[in-house]
Amino acid sequence: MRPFTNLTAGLSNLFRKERVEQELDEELRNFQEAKVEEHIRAGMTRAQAQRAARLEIGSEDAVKERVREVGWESAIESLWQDIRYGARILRRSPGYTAAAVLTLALGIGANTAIFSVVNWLVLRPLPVQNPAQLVYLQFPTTNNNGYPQFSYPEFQDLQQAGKGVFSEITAFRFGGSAGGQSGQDGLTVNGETKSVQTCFVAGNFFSFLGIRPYLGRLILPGEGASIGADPVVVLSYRYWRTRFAGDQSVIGKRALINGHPVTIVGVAPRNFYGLTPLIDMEAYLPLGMAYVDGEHALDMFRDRKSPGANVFARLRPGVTREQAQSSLASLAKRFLDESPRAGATNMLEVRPLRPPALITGANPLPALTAVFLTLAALVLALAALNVTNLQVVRASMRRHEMAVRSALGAKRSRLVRQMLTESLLLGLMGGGGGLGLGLAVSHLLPSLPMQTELPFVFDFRLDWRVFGYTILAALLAGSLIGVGSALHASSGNLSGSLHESGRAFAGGRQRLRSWLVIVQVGGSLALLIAAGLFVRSMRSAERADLGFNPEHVLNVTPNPYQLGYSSAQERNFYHQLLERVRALPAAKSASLVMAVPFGEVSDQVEVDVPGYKASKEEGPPTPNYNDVSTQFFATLQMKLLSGRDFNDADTENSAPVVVINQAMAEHFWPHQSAIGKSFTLSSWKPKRAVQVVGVVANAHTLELAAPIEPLIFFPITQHSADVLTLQVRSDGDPLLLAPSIRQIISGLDSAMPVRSVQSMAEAVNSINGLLLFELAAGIAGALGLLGLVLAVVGVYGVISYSVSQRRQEIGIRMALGATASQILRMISRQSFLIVAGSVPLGLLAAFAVGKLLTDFLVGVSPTDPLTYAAVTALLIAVALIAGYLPARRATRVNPMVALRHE
Amino acid sequence: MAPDKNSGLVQGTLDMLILKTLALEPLHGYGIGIRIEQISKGVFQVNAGSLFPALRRLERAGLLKSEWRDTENNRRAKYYILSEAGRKQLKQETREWEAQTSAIARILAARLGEI
Repeated sequence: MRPFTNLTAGLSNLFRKERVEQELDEELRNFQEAKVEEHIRAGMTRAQAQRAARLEIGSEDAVKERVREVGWESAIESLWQDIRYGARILRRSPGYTAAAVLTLALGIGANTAIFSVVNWLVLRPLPVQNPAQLVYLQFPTTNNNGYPQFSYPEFQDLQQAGKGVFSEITAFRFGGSAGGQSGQDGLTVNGETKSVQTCFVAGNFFSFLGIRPYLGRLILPGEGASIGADPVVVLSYRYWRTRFAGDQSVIGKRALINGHPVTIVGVAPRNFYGLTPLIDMEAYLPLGMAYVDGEHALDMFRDRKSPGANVFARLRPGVTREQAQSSLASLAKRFLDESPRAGATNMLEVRPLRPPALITGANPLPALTAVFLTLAALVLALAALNVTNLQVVRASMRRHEMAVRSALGAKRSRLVRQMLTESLLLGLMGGGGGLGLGLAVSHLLPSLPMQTELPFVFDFRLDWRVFGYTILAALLAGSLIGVGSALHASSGNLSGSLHESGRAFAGGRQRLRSWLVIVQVGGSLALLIAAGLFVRSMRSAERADLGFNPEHVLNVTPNPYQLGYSSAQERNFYHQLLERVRALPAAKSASLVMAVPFGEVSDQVEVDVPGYKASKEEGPPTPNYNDVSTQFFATLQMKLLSGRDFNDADTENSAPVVVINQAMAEHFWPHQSAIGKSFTLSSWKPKRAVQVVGVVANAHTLELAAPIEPLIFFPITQHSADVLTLQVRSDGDPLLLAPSIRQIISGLDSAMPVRSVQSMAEAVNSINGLLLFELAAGIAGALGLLGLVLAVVGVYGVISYSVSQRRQEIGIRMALGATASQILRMISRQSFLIVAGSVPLGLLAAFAVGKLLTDFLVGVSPTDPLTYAAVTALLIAVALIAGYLPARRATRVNPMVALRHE
Repeated sequence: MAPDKNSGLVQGTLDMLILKTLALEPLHGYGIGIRIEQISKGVFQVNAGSLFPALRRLERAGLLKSEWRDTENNRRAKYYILSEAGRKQLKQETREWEAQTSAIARILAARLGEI
């Protein structure tokens, strides 16, 4: 065979169908006429000859059909017939079709929504050249927080040593909060200062990625190697659109970053958000410009023991990550010997960029997405079961049609194919609805109050992955439904139903339907229990004793740093601010703090505690710290356990002191009082001892779910960040204080940018705080509710159907004297059986799902008996009510009507 | 349906007969049927239900080409022409067929003692 001739001939037959048919007609007519003439020549009359020819040739249609069947295109044609027939059938019962499509759209939509989030977070490759080759280099640490680990000289060493395995190596440094302690940087254009998330990149950063500018130019190789040499900035497309409304004249403009002059030279490509997940890098500057973030940002250039950059590389083709890793092993060992990194072993890891792991803490993304994809798949399975049920009901109503078609010569395989086609059609229609629904839902996510100034990006664009996943889900659901209903349709003797009324089959068919419903209700139970666990987890997180009181506290963050204030100017500004705010009558107390609880700012400091020997895995202890003013503990109502609070006597020139939390006291000085103990900070040169003067009770300030870790409080007079948040406690609604505080700030400097004016209670709902719990509970709850609705529809459907099938029987029973309550009991027995079968099934499934959830639940065990009992009771009640309604209708059957019905 | 006289044909031989017929000269469907009947002296009669699907199949496989021409009595008819590929195919099938028939003939003629 020549596949190509075959293909073209088949296609031309498909597209010139009429012509081909005409030719075939003509050819057959010629043939017949020739036959007739042959018979006439043999001596027949014309009429006899025609008759004889017809007899010889037989049915002209049969001949044509056999000719048509020769090519593959006939298979397509019969498929097309099936589709048209299926569409006609579906159109004929719009109510049924709508119910089925809506059910599937909900099920598929849930999957599309969750998948489009997963796609953005985990799957979609970065929009750069050959993204699969990109890796980043990191020493694994205990907290794995993505902090910069390399100094500039070390980066240069890596560039030399990595030549064999990497085609290029680049580095960047997060600006602002992510890299240090100053919060975001300020970009002043046309006299207006706004926050910007900066990223300082090595000159080869963009050529390394292989991307082209949207406008102007990008940072060029060779720029940024020397300090302050290239004062240029490239904006992200998103920032440029939002802040400058896409104004092209911005290119070439002079601007200020934290008061330092720069020139805007270009805009990065659309859909490029930098190499970090979730957060948009809004402005790129050469690495050598990092001093705009403060002098300390330059340490990484001067001191090879001062890490300040993250290092990324592109693997040479054919080189594996393991090979790259082992080729750098000896250099990595030297780095560690020169300057140990907290918790790092001597293995430098070469990690892939996807799934992303550059967020703080262990990376929960893959596991969390697996959990939600599983729950969504469960919902879809339930929806498909539901529609299968509907199809089976309809199939029994269509037994006549099937029997007739079968009698007319349709093969059984053709009938099964018809069922499959119909189901796939339903699946695809549901998929279309689901795609729209899912995308609409996922687009709601970015409108969530994130309680942060960080430029989070949610890019849930429809791409081929989301589209493919949706279509796959639709086809899977469709074929599940098709196979289920075809199994049902092909069981039993079709021709039997031509002779009978169809009712007699109830027994066996009912059993299959009951099983479908049992599985469905069981699945809903598992889903609901998972949702219940998430809701309970959120409740317990909300009620958890934080160790401080977030009520009645206002947070305001003015940012003198973004205006380029000197340290002395900053100190003066904060001093005056605090004094004037404290003078407000409504302010009970006011304080300044570097890291607001659950905010995006946090930092760690390496300490040396005399007498404390750290284990090898722990490495040098680096507890979290915070810089606070006087009255901080009073404003947040944190409990002082022993010692004293900071006071005005703790000044720049007095002996350095700290307050620590209980966890820190117990960690370093177990079974003794920590008051009066001292330790040194490795970063302070010359080394000076700080003395512990107070111990406060543990409080959750960084993460809700994690155990509380050691924490040091420094007085801002002795250890301070550039950007501080003002916190004010009042008696009433703290937001009422906002106008007068804004007035005070603009009285001090009218150009002062102010961000995050919010109550502390709101701030707790950040992504580090309650937000994730609420999100998880919300999504799981929605999925659970969907499951419950599907279960109700399933039970209601199966009982209604059974009642309608047994009308005659019920009529006879009532005519023979059965009471309404006896009938009710008879019908309800079925719902009890369904519930009795589904509950153990559901509980088993819930245990399995619960295992997956363990890591994401706070204050509730994955086998929490209360949740299991309450949810099971709820489901039983709902299922029984769903079954009761049609059962009650059965008692109203009029015996005479029912008996005459046939 | 008409009695199917060619059902006695060994599977697949109809294709070969059609190819051979057309190797002599291009013919239309009816002509092919008649020619096979004539040459076989009436042993094989090809009916429409077998002939036309076979023609479509051979054409689809690229072994035949077709064109509409006027017949001897001035009608239009679809003539089938053997293609180069068809000629090769015929040669090969003929060889195989001869090998098979001579083998079968030997077996049928076999007597004990000669083996």
